[in-house]
Amino acid sequence: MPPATATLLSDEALMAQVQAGDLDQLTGLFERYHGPLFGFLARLANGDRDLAQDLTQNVFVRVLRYRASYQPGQPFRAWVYQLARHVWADHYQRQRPTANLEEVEKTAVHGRAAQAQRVTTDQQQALHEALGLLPAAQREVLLLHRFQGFDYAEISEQLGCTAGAARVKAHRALDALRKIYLS
Amino acid sequence: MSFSNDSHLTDPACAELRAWLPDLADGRPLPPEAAHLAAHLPACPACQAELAELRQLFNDLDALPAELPPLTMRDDFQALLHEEKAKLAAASPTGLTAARGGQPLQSAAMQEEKPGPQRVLAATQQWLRVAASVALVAVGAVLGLLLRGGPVAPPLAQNTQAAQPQQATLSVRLAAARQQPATASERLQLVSQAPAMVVEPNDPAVLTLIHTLDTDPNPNVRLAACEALVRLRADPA
Repeated sequence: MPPATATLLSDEALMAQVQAGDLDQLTGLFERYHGPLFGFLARLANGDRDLAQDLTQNVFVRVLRYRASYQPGQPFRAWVYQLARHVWADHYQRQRPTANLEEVEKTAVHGRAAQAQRVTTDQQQALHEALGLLPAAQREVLLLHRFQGFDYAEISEQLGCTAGAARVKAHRALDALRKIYLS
Repeated sequence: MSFSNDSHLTDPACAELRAWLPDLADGRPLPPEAAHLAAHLPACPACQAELAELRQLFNDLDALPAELPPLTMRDDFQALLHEEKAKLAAASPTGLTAARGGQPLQSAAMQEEKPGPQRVLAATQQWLRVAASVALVAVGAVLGLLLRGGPVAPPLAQNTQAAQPQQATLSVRLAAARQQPATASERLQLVSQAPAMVVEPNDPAVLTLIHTLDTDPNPNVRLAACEALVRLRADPA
């Protein structure tokens, strides 16, 4: 299929062709999604671009490996981000630090550290630091909502919960970030 | 900009409105079911402060620069796609399904996921393989130039009767060939024929063979002289 025609097709139509064995159609999906996925994974990885590059590549490895499991008509965007979340979760499990950051980062010490960092470095660096101090699950919800544009209903499908629960998770993540960043 | 107002945490109206503050900070109005909270915000400094913080946070989040992917990702992806197509081609009955341009694709296993940033190590190993290949080709070329000589020596003279007339002149021809600008192949041919021509132990050709073994510039000729002398020693007759 000519590239010009491929650009007119929906994500789902392209993925259906990939599923049918026309692997070249994945190039169009790669062009549409590798940037956003890279940004998503880079922020999850606290700005580690090399790691984000490898993880993004792994997402497309999984797209090829699990293409048979894609349900025709299923929103490709949600499916590929689900794969990206799993890629990140697998990496995070392998690289999990010994200290339980989810408990430690809530302490006042880290709050002051983040505050000191904000004073001594530029604002964007401070926000990156604050994002990095969030628990992984909260950071993930926040990134999906604020940076990737998923609404609560879509996030709820990703997380396997209700839209209301997804909304609560997103608000808790925002509240935690606000306290780390501004308090 | 932090605030500490205990009533903000315990006031039911504050708690109810806080659930909608992110939407307000995003510029969305309160939904109908929360419209009754609109009157609370102007009267609550704590909720106003939290709303201001959320607005600042959202502004700062929106101001973060986008993380742009490196251009090399396309190359990695194309390599991945190539491997998967090769795998498909290998699995198909004809083996040509995913071939491109009539060239059969290499059979390759599915690319394994990278556990982390090992790109540099993989690239180094690839360059080492290329360098080793180039070095191997260079060594082969040099060896080929060094060992390039005349054609393999023809079989030893099959007909000793026919060689008899040449016996008297063999040593002369060998000595002349060694001193004249004869080609290595010519010298090699003469040396190879020597055992069939020597009929007595004191034949001057033997001394010429020894001299050839000592001094001929071509290693193949020297080797042939050595073989000829060994053959004569084993079968002096």
